Amino acid sequence: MKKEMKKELGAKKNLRKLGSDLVEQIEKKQNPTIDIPIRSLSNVNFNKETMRIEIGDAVAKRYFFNIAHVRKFTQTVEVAALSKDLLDVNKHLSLREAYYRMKRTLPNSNINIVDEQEESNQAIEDLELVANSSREQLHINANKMGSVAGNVAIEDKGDLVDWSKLGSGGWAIPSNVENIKFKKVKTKFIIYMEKAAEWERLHEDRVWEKLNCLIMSSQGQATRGVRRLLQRLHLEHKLPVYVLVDGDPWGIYIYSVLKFGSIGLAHISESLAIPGCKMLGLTADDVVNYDLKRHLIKFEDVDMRRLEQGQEELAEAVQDVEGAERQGRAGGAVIEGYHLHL
Amino acid sequence: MAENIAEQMSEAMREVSVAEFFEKNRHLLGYENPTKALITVVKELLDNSLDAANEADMLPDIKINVEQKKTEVKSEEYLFSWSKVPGDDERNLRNFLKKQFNLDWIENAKITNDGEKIRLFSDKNWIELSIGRKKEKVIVNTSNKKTFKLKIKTEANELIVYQLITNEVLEDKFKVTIVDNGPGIREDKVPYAFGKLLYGSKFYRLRQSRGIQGLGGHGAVLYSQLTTGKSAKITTSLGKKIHYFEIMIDVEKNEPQVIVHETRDNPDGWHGLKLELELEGRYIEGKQSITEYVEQTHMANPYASITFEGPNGKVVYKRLISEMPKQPVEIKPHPYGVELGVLRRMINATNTKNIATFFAKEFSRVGKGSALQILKAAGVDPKKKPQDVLHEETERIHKAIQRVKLIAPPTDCLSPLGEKLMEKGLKKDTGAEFVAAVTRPPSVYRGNPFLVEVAMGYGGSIPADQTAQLFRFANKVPLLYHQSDCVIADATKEVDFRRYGLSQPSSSLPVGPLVILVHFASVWVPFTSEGKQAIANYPEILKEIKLAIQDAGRELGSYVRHQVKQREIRLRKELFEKYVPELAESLAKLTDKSKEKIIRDLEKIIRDKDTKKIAGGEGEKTGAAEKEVKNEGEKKEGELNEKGNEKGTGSEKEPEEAGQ
Repeated sequence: MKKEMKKELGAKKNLRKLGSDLVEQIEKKQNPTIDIPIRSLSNVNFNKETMRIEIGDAVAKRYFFNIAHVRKFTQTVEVAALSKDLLDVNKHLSLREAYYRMKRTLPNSNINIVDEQEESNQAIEDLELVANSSREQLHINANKMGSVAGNVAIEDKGDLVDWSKLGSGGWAIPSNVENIKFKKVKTKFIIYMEKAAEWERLHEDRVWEKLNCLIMSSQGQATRGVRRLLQRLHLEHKLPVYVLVDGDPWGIYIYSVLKFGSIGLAHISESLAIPGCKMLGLTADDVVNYDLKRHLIKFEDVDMRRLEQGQEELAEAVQDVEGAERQGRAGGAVIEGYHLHL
Repeated sequence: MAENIAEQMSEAMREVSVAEFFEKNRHLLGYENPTKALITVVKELLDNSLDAANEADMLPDIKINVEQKKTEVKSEEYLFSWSKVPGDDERNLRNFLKKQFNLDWIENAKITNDGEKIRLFSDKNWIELSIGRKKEKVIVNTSNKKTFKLKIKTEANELIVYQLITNEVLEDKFKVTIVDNGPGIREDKVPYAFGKLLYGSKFYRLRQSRGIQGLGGHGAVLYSQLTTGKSAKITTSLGKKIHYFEIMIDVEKNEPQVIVHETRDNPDGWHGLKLELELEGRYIEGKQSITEYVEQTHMANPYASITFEGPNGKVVYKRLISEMPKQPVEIKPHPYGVELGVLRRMINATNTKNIATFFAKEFSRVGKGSALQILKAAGVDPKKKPQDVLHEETERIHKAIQRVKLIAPPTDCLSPLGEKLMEKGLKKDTGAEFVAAVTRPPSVYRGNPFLVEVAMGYGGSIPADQTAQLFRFANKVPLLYHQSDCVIADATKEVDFRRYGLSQPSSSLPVGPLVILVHFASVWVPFTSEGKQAIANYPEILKEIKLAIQDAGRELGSYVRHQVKQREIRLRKELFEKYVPELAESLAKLTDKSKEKIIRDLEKIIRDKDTKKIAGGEGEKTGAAEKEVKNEGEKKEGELNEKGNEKGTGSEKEPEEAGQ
C-alpha cells in the first residue's frame, strides 16, 4: 500500500512537471512541445536478459503550433489535467467515462476535442508514457473483463473474496488489481485459456477443484488486469502459468503476448510479461496425437495475413536473439493453414 | 409560255431601297424584339455621340433619358345618390371630401340637404354642394374658398353624383432623348445624316471608330418611324445658330423628308446634338440591359461623363480621367485584307490614270515596285486604265496580291484603352481588389491591323462563387449579346485558368471572384452580323486574345496564390486560436497558474510568430514521421480487431489489448 501511494505521488509529480514544462516553453515564446516515446515495431526491442519486449528511446515530438499535431496535443494535455483532478480527489474513471468527459465541441467551430473513444484511449496511452505512470496510477481504469475461479481468497477494498465460492460466474477481474491482497493461496498452478466458452465448460465441471488450480480467461487477448493478476500470482506465489490457446496464429500470438509482452504496451511490459509461462496447447502435433482431423477449420485470407505478419515479427525477434544467420528460416511460405480450436 | 413567265417575273423585280430592305430585316440591325430594340437605340445614339466627341477631341458629356410613355385613362365612379344624403350614402360623401380636402372636421360635421343644396358645417367651417342649372354638374364650394365640380346624372328618377378618376396607364412606347456636347452637325447635312441609310462618313475609310457601316443612327430613326409613325426631332448647333429639325425617312426612295426646320438663337453658344425619338420597346434591368450597356461603356471610356435617367431612376457615371485618348489615325486599306467586291468598287471609283498608280495611291504599304509585282503576277498591263480592267482581270489581281510579299500595315492607327485606364475603370465599376491589365502590341489579320487588351479584376466585391463575368469590347463599344458566338469567349475558354489558382470546369469560363475585360481594337472589326455583337473567329485574333489573357493571367496568378496562402495562414491561426483556451485551461489545472495569463502568452506567440512557421508547422517532418508510425500500428490493430470480431470476442474489449 505504501508503494502504491508512492507511485501515485510520482504520477502527480510527473503530471505537474509536464504542465510546468509547457508553461515555461509558452512563457519563452517557444512552440509548446511534448516528447512522446514511439510505440511501434520500429521502437521496441526484445531484451534477451529479461526475456521481455521493451520500448526503445525513440521519441516523436508533438507540437501545439502544428496543424497536424494540435488536436492530439490538446487531447494529451486535456487528459493529463483530467488525471490530475482524479488524483486530487482520489477518484477513478473508466476509459468510457474519460471519453465522455473529454468529448465536447470547441466554441465557434465544428471541431470536437475527441470524436471516438479510440482517440481518448490513445491520448491516455500517450500520457502513460509521458508521465511515466500506468493508466491505473493515473486513476483511469478499463472495464472489468475476464473471470477467475479456484481455491484462492483475496481482500479487495476491505472485502474478503473467496474465488472458490462465487457460483457459476466466478470472480470478475477488474482493470486495476494493484491493491488486491492475497489472503489464502492453496492452488498449485494456473491455466489461462483464450476462450471464455472453455472457461465456462471447465468451471461447470469444477475442474479447478479436481486439479487444484486456478482457471482464468478474458476472451481472446488477455487484458491488462488479467495479465497483471497472472504475473502477481506467478511472482508472489510462484504459481506456474499454463496457456491454453487455439492452434492458429492468433492463439500463438496470445501466448507470445502473455510471455514476452506486446508492442503497444512495451512500456509497461515489466509489470505484465510472464516469461516463465508455458504453452499448454493446442499444437499441430495434437492433431495427430489425439486424432483431431475432423476439427480443422480452413484458413481464410485474414488468417494468412496474420500468419505472415507474425512471421515478420518473429523474424525480427529471432534476429535479435540469435543473430542474422537464422533469419531466413522463419520466413517460410505457408500455402494452406488450419485452425485447431479448443 | 416560258417567255410570259419570264416577263412576269421581270415585272415583279424592282429595285428595293436599302431602307426598305432593313424595314423587312430589322433583326440584322438588332431590332428583333422590343427589349433589344430599346437597347439598340440607346447604344447607337451613345456610340455616335462618343465617336463625334472623339473626332472633335472634346471631353464628352452625355445625357440619356429613357422615358416610358403614359396615357391618361379617365373614368367615372359612383359617389352618392343625392337623395341618400344624409342617409345611406352619407359615409361615401364624407370620405370623399375628407380625402379631397384633407380636413378633420368633416368627420363630425352636420349635414343638411334641402334638395337643391347639400351643406356640411362645423363651427365656422362649411362645405356646400349645389346642383348646376342644367343638372349636369355639382358645384362644390368651401369656406376657405376652394371650388371644384362633380358630374351628376339622372338615372331612374334618381340624381346620382359621379366623381372623375384619371388613371395613368404605361404604354410599350418610350421617348429616348440624348444630348451631347459634341461638335454638332452642319445644318445642310442633318437630313442626310439621319434620313438616309448608309450615308455615314465612315464607310470608305479605315480607321478605328465605333460605328462603321453608317447604319446605326439611321436604323434608330427608321425603327422609331416604323413603330410609332413619329418623326425624329433633332436639335443641333455648331456654336452659332441652333437648328431644329423634324425628319422622316421616305422608305421607298431612301430619302430624308424634312417636316420642320426652324432656326433659333443661341445666346449661350451651345454646341452639340440633341436627338429625340419615340419608339416601341420594353425596358428591363439587370443582364443585357441599358444600364449594363451604359456602365460597360463608361468602363471603356472613363473620360466620358454619362448621365442615364431611366424609368427606375438616375445614374451618373462621373468622368474618371480628363484626358482624351489619342486620336486614331486614318489609314488606307492594306491589299491583304481587301475583299474582291471592295476591290472592284475601288477600281471603278478611282480617278487615278492607270491601274499601277491606283495600287500605289489607294493602298497602304504598296509602292510602285510592289504594284508592278502584283500586276505582273496577275498578267495585267500596268498601264491599263482602271475603269477598263475586266472583271476577270480583277479576280486575277485579287489572287496575285496574296502571292506578293508586302510589309504589314501601319499600326499607329489603333487607339488602345491602355493598362492604367482599364485598371481604373475596372476597379471603379466592379469593386475589384486587384486588377491585372495587359495591352498587347498590334498585330494583323487579313491586312487589318488590330490589337487586343485584357484586364482581369479579382476579389473585392466580385461574387466568389459564380462564373467569371466576361466584358467584351470592340473599339470601346461593349458587346452584350451572342457571347458564345464570339471569338473572345472562345479564346477565354481555351485558356487554362487553373494555372492561375482559379477553378474552371472543362471548356468553360473560370469560376471565382473574377471579371475579365477583353478589348479588341481594329480599323475593321469582323463582326459576325450587322447587329455587331460578336467578333468572328480568325486564328490570328484567337491567338492574340489568348496570349493577352495569359499575360494578364500570370500576373493575376501570383496575386491569387499569395491571397490563397494568406487565407490559409489566417485559417490556421484561427484554428490555433480555437484550441488556445482549452490548452490554457488544462495547463492551469496542472500548474495552478492563471489561465488568462497562459491564454495571453499563447496568443502573443500566434501574433508574433513568423506566419510561415505557424502555417507550415515547425517540426512538420517529425510530425509526419509520428503519423507514419501510428498508421502502421493502426493497421495491425485493424486486422486483429477484425479477427477478434470474427471470433465473437467481447465488444467491450479494450482496444489496445485486443490489438497488441
